[in-house]
Amino acid sequence: MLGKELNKVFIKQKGICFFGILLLLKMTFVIFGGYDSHYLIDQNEQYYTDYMNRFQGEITEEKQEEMESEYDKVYHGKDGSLDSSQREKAFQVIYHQYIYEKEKGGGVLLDTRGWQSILEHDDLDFFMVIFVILISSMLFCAEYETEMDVLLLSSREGKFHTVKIKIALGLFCGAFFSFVFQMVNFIYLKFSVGFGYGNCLLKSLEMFEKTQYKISLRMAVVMLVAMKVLGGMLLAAVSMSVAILLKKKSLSLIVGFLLVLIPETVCSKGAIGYYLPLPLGLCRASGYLWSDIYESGIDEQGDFVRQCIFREIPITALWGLLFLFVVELVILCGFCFMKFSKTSLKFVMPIKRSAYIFTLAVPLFFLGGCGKYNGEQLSIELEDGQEVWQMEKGKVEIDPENNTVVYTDSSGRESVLTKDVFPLELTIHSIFVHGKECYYLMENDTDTGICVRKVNLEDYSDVLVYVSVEENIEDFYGLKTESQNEGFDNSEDTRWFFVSNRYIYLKKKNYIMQINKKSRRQKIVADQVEDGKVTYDKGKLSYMNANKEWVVYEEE
Amino acid sequence: MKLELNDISKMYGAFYALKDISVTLENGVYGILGANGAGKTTLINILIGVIQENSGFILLDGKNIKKMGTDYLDKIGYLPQYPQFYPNFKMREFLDYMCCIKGISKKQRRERIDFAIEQVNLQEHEKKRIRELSGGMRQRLGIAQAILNNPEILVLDEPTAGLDPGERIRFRNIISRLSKDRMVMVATHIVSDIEYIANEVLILQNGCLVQKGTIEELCAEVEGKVWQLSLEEKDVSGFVNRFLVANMKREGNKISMRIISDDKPDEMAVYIKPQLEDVFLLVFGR
Amino acid sequence: MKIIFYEVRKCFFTRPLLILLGILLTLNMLVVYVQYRQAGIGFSDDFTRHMATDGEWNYYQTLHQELDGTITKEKVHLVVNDYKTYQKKIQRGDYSTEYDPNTNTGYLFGDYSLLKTHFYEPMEYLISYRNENDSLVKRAKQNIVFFKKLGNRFEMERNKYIVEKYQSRDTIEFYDTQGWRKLLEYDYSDLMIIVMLFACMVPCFYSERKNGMENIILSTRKGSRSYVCGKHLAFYACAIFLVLIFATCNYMLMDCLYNLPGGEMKLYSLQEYQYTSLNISVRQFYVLVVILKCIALCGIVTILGIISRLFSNVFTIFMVMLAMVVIGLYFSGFIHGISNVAVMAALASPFSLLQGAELYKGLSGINVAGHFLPWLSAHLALQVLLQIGLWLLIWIYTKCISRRLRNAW
Repeated sequence: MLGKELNKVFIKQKGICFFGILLLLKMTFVIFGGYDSHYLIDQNEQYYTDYMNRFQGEITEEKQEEMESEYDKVYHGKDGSLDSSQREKAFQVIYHQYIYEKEKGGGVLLDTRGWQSILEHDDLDFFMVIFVILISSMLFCAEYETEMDVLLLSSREGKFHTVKIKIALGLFCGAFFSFVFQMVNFIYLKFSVGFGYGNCLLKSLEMFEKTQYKISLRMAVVMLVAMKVLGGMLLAAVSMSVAILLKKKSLSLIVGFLLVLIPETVCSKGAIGYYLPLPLGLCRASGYLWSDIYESGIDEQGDFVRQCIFREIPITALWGLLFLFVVELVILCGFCFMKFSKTSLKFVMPIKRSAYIFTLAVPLFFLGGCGKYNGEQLSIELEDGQEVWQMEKGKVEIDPENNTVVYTDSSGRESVLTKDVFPLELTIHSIFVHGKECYYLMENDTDTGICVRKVNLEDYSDVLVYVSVEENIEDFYGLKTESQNEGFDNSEDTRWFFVSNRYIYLKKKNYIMQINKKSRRQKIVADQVEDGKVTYDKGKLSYMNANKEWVVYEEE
Repeated sequence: MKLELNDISKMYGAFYALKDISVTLENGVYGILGANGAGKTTLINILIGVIQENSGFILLDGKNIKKMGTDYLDKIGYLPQYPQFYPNFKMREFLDYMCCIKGISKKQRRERIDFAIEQVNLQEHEKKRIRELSGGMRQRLGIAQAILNNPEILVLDEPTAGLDPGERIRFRNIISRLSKDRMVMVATHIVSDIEYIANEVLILQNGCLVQKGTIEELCAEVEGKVWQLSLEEKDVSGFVNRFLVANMKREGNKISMRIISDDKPDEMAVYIKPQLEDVFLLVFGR
Repeated sequence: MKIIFYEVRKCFFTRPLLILLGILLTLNMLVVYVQYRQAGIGFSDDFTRHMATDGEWNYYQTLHQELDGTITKEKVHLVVNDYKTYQKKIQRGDYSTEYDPNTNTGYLFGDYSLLKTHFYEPMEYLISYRNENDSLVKRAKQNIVFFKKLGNRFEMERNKYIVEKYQSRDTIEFYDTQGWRKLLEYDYSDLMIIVMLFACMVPCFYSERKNGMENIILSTRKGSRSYVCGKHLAFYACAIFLVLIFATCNYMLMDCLYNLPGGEMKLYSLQEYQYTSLNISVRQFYVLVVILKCIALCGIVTILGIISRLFSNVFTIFMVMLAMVVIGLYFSGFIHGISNVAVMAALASPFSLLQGAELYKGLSGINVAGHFLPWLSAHLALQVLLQIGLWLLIWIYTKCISRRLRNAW
């Protein structure tokens, strides 16, 4: 009987196809979404990894001495060598973590990125939600729509046994697929950053400094998985109830989806979503483990204040809620049981195929591809400070007072290059001229990143080349959480920059960053870069490092 | 086997779908006749256990069917009105599924399916999907699934609706064959289907059982009330307004009318033998 | 006409859908109210009755009563004098932070802060707007001459457009703009409308097929010609109806909560719309945003209708529609995109017009063969082409279906 029901749902109604599509989309999103990390780590991953390999584990006295000694070396340079800023930044993260773990944490230094990615986010897995709602609708609505419900009810096994199997199958699918979709995350994180030192206390993560739970990281993750599995089951029960009540596939799909979507958009912030008698709380689950979360800011009087944006859910409340959710699950299953058992061109195919292919292929459109170096003709020499650029016939310089770029020709005549009548939001910082194009870089002291524009010296057309903030402003009605622009170290000014065919290169203090203009991917290609000249010639960037050696970086 | 319905009533709000139905049924073919909305489907749904009656009880061989539980459902075979089944299932696959939900063991399934397919003469179409079957084939498939569990009570709701004459004849023959040693209940408003195969007829009107008996018994009540008369066309409307007209047929310049009346409607009228349709018309025509 | 009426009746005026509409309208109103209650909490500049003390609210109301309307010298003097008085005291640093019944809000800094944030700074913006705008237009005029000499047609046209749209602007009225800002920013009802359209359109063609009505309709003279067209027109009618009903509901609710004063003040009186190219009033802008949403949704329902017709499995219809909505919304996020791909994506997506309020915050335009074209014009032109293409597709598909049916008979 179970086999028959599985066949009806997964083969006859193509449930397995939908699962495949959603799993693929989930994997794509997980891979492109990445994991939780600090920009200081991302920019200096190699150094961070070296330090972590060296210092991770229990903070013993020897490790403390070693840490302090390294601190002196990095910040005070006692051995006389010039330390790279990359190493310094990586060490900054490690040291900060070390201090926290020593004084407030679990006394163990570990790579927390994997654990943070799981425990510090409460995003709803919409792929899992859609699939569970689909399965629930397939289990019951199909019977109503084909009027097989009457035949089932008039049969020996159909009246009770089949209904029980359907409900059990629905719950099992809710639990199983919730688990499977979570595993996609875990597998990705396991192979990306790993899950080391799972026996450490939960408060090893800074966000859980004041947590009420004295459990290990591994136990916290297990609890999270279990709650999400229960959430999947509750979601299945709710969807099945809706399917049985409404009897129509389309309506039950939409209402089932609404019961998740609306609370998610309305209660996206705060703890209220976790108290609702809906699957939302359990499907998110992470918030049940969180302690109070505060937002800091300056009030009207100029005082620094903190405001609580998430109130901790007490353990007793959690147990109470879990009990109520289980009771709700049982009630819904009983309701489903009782309600159902009372005591359903040739021309067309290519279009359909195209629609399927298009829906799957469009995300691939943005993957981009790897290009090969195509013989860049750019050949320049650069030095720190780019407020003025000398050309053969004149010069280009920044007018800081008016925040414009001015071109002075050989006869001394000045003309403003930046002709846009609308004032610029950022301050022009550096300029770079190549051929007939003048690029200007803008940045501010705040977290607004950088912006690069170019002006054609012949027709003065002004075009935006690159901006470091997210290009896409859509937030899906509050469902998409804002990602902070941590990719840029805004505390340091850009020393110089230039633009090649595919990349923008810029120098911050001691490192050179390469930004792909199309994919916007950032990479540090050189560190320990001495102040002074660098040259770029046909894809080869030459610079002097801290050891006064010339190093050449070659573009891919 | 004896099935007793005692004062069965079903209400939807203040409306009586069935009112105080009491009847005893035994083996044989029973036709349940009634106009649309008479309560046929409601009665059937109560018999097969899909809906609960508001009052009354049903006994099968002296046992209350509610207390029998699923044992009662073992004895039921049901064909719904306008069945769709699962369009993308193959025929054999569907019958196998129905065996599962009827609790037929794996060992017996193959034999039962083969028997059912043979009974309804669908061997050639075994491998087709249900959506590829014609209306008549689908109805026959419906019979096949209904007899899988060798039911003692076979309930068929409007089984011949939408079938061509050939299919209907085929269908009637299948029913006649299956009616040996079981109770077959055929709910329909197509009188001619009942006339050929039913042993007894139950006539429902507005939720009440108004007539019950063999076809001969029912026709006997209309004996001497059915007349045939040939008229000029200009006189037809007068007779239509005054009498219950069962049939009108043009014969050359005249109209031959079949009239149901207690008294002789005209001097030229001739008495003819009544049929079940006349009984139906007498009950529902007024 | 009657066919369209019946199609609307079939697709929309059914009990479950009307109940759903009622639920969504109620939910929408709740969300508006919850957002109103949450306004002002935290570090935002919003000022509402429930988060203010009686003193603060009275002071706020009193000032608005005195200052609302045409800006006069007397009003400006009043604000400036009060502000400077407070500022002197604050800058001295020795002001009292204790409760002072002689102040309006109860605290000196409270008076200063309220006056500065909600009156002085907005008024300063309004008064200085004219001069700043005039210098902007002046620079644009200079640019026209400059770019004409250089032969840069795009920049020349762009600056001409700026001169045409931005000249002779003046902001002469001062009102509390909070309500209008909230009304124009509020987009949650778009989600409600999309959900309703899903509910109407997912089963539309599917249920006709299932009931066997499709063949009956296609076998009739008028039905065969107007079946698909009638359905699509019904979808348009539903979409427009939903936009209007939600827009009216939002407007009435915001009016109750915020009063929405000064509906005739120019759009650029709102600081967020300082550089808008429109010279219409705030109320007219809201109407324009609603019209743009109607256009957007008409474009969206054409695509959804095609999807509904194309597939026979309701789950497939649901998934494909959902994918299309997600992708369309994502593309619409590129309205300020840089790369050609991003710009094309935003232009092609009919969802972009749902962001009408965002579009008009600045001047957006694209370069089409050296000519300046306002972004909205380009988008509308592309959408018209897209709609024509889609209708052509529908027509061809319908012809194929009817030919197939005729052959079958």
